[in-house]
Order: sequence, then structure tokens, then C-alpha cells
Amino acid sequence: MLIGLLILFLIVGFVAPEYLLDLLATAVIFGVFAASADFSYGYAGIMNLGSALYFGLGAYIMGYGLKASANPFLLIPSALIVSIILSLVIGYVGFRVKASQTHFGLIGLAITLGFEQLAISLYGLTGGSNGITNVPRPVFSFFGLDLDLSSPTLYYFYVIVVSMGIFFILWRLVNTDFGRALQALRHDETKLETMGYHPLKVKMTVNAITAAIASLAGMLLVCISGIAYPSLFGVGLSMSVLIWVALGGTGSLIGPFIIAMILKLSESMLSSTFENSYTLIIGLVFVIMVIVAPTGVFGIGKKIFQYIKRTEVEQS
Amino acid sequence: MNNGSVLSTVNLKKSFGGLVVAGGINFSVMPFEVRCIIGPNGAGKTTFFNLLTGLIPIDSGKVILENKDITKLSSSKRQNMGLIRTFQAPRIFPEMTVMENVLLSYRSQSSIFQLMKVLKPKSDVLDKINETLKKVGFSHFINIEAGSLSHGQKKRVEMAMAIVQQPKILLMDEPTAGMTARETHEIADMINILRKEMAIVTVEHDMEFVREVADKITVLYRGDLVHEGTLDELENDPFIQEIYLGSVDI
Repeated sequence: MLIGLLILFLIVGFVAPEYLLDLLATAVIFGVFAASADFSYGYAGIMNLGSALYFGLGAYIMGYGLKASANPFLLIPSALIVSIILSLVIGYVGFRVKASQTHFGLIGLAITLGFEQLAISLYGLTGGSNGITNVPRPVFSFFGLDLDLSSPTLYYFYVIVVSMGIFFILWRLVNTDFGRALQALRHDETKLETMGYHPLKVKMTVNAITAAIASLAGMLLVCISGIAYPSLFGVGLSMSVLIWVALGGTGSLIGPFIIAMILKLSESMLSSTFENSYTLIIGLVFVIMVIVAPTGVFGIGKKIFQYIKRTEVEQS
Repeated sequence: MNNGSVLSTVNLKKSFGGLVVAGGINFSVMPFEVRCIIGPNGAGKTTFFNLLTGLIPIDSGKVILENKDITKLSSSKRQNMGLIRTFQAPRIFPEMTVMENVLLSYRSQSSIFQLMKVLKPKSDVLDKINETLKKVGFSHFINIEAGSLSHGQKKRVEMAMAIVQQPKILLMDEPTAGMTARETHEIADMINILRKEMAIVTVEHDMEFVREVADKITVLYRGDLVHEGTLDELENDPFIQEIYLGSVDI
């Protein structure tokens, strides 16, 4: 499925007009962000109410650095390290109270709100409410060779390759013994501990991986939009990503990825027509889905697939 | 306490408000011994297991595993040292297969990076898991979801999860609860084989089972260790008969 998706994205890259490639790349970036949230919530049962913190952090560090003509090869690891260290600190404080995700969720929420406020207040550094504008696309230089990604087409391919790479890593992780430990953590933390696992370490690792991916997604986005603004840290984005996970189907990775993409694409296309009612429509869709399909789109797909398989077996 | 014991407690105390659940328990189990803990409901048997494994912090006293004071160690560290337990209601992971449950337990000593590397277990690991599942009388259905098993089968899976970690001492909380007479007999046979590899402490109500497996019996009542001895000694103790066993015929 992943290879099929990759081929589809690559074909689109050759035929679609540039403005559409920017839209699609944006949608893919949010898809990866949603998949990372699913990795945390759907597999390990850790609900992060402030995941936009790392998304915003990645966007701001990348935006600031690129405007200052910093080398992207240095910028990307720097932003990742900052995000991971912050996630480990928040994780250590938030997860210390065993089996209480509430502390972690609330701390994440409070800190992301704090960062949003800081982004507005520290005008000299962050550009205040306007944010960091006119962020250029990166030029990677290695061994005297320049890879200029300022063309939307090239940048689209870059986003696709990085995003699919991240998605593959997530998919692989959930299918390893580590993935099984995450499912066990979600189901019964005490049992996992009495088996000899260290739940705090497992949770902090999940949080660090999620933070790194969210940060990378923020870094990818800022070069398309050309702007890092305070609401990238906002509660709105943190909540949206959880809604994408719920709509897509928790514990599937691909469901939230696709739903986030569809909603982002439809937002770009429909919000100009239904400017005032778009959010309301999405809210209604969410409510209806929770009632009729609590397992999300992935759950519906799975049921249909099982039904078809059963019918085929009965017929044969 | 250096008396050759594999697990011992020294004056273990715990109370919840005014309720004393462990009133200074001195307990010790020798290597390869099978000990049964009996006592009426509310005597503090499961709580005693929780104190031994660190799930509930103690107020005072010591827990010693092979001459090492483990009182301040976390539950997972105690497990890493060979103190393994099962629960009264089987605690397994229902969404995983039987094989995955035991595999997860087998891999508990691995670092997080090692866990991230393995997509499919190697054949020697699979052999080890199959062998362990056979020990608990479980040779079929290893690739079905553990949640769909019967109560007795779930208990066996949890036992396999414990045994695969090669404990020095295995604490089993009511291993035969909810099992048929035949299953109870099979579990007794299993314990009689396992005792060659480890010490075993069980909390138990079924006196027939106790008779089949126990080297020694400990009687708990209201958080106190009130008697320790063989089944014969217990049978002849009128105090125990009257207060702790009531009408139960041993």
C-alpha cells in the first residue's frame, strides 16, 4: 500500500501544475503529522494535547534559520534536537505519575499555549503576531554541489520522499517488538511493568519520536507557506490533529494520514466557498462519524474488506 | 537475613489508614520450595504479593531476594532480578496473539533499541516460546488472539509469560481460580515439574491443590502471619481449624 501511495504521489508530481503540488505537499505534511499523533495515541495510548508545540517549534527554527541563510544540514538536526530535548523534559515531568495521562496532556497543553504567547511577545525574534515571513525554500549544499529546492516541483518530491520515509519508519516501528510493547502499554501499564519493562522510558521514547516527526513536519511546511506564525503552536492545530486521528481510525497510521490529507485539501478548496461554515461542516462530520463509525474510516474499510472476503469464501 | 532463602521479608509492615494489611510479616522461602499461602478472604494475601513485587510501597521492613535488599527497587527491577508474578484475574494483552503475549514477556530484558530492530522473532526464540507454552499445556491456538480464549486458557498464557522469563521465584495468585477440577489437577502437575527449576509461592483456596503441591503452608490472617508449617501440622492445629479454615475439611 505504501509503495502504491508513493508511486501515485510521484506520478502526480510529474503531471500536476505547480500550485496544486504545493497544496498536495501541504496535505501530505499534515498527513504525516496525523500519523505521528496516531503512533502516540492509537498505539501507545498517550494523548498529547499539545503536539502542535513541536510542529510550531520546527517551523519557527527552520523559518528563522533559513531567513538567516543558515545551512539546512545544520538547521534540521538542531530543530530536531531542541524538540526531542523539550519532549523528554515534558515527558519526564508529565509521565512520572504512573498511569495518569492527564498530567502529561495538561502540561503539554499549557506549554504549547505558553509558546504561542511567547511567539507573539518576542517580537524581535519571532516577528510577533505576523510571524516570520518570506521564508525561502532550502538549498542543500554538499561537497560543492547545490540542491536547490526553490522550485515547487522539486520541493514536492523532497516532501514526498521525506514523508514516505517517516511513514515507513512509523509503520516498521509499530510492527516490531517495540510496537507490541506500545500496545501493551496502552492496555495495561501495571502488567507491562511487572513483566520487567520500564513504562516511563517507553512513554518518553514514544513522545520523543512523535515530537521529532511533528517538528520535521513543521520544518517542511514553513518552506511551502513561507511563513511561521503563532497559531502553529496553537491549541486549534493540536486538537485538529486528534480529530484527524479519531476520524481516520486509531491504531492504523494510514487512516489518520489519509483523512488529514483529504481534510486539508478540502479545506484549501472549500474554505473559500464556505468561508463561514467550513469549520462547522467539519465539526458535524466529526460528530456523525463518532456516532455511526467510532472506529473511524479505517475501521469501516476493514469491515468492508472482511465482508467481501467472507462473501468470497461462502461463494466458493 | 542470610539463611539461604531465595526470598524473605523482615518485619514487613503496611497499613491503609487504620487498616493494617501487613503487621510485621517475617517470611522466607527456600530455593525450589513450593509454598502455599492460605487464609480467609481479606487476610491480605494478594496485598502481600503486591508488597513483595513493589506494586504497593511498604511502610517499613525489608524485602530480600537472594541476600539482596530489593525494598527500594521498582517493580520492573525486581522482575529483572527474577521475582516474577501472575495475577488472580489473568492479565494478558487481548489484542495480541498467544505467541505475541509470550514473546513480549520473553523480550522484556531487551533495550528499547533492540526492541525496535526485530520485525519477526528468530526460530530459536519461537522454539523457546513453543516449548514454554507446551509446559503449561498449551500447544494449539498459539496464533489466535488471546482475548478470545477461555478463562483457564488465559491463565495458562499468563503462566507461560511468567515462566518464559526463567524466574528464581514465581508468585502465583490463585492459579486455579475459576478452573475445572481437571484443569486444577493439570496445574498441580505443572507446578510439580516447574519446582525443579524455581521456587514457587501460590495463594490458594483449593485445599486439594495445596495437598498436591505444597512443601510448606503459610497462613495469613488480618495482615499477620499466624502459622507456618506442613499440611500435617496445620490439620492438627485446632486454632487454625477453627479460625481460618472454618468448615473446610483438610
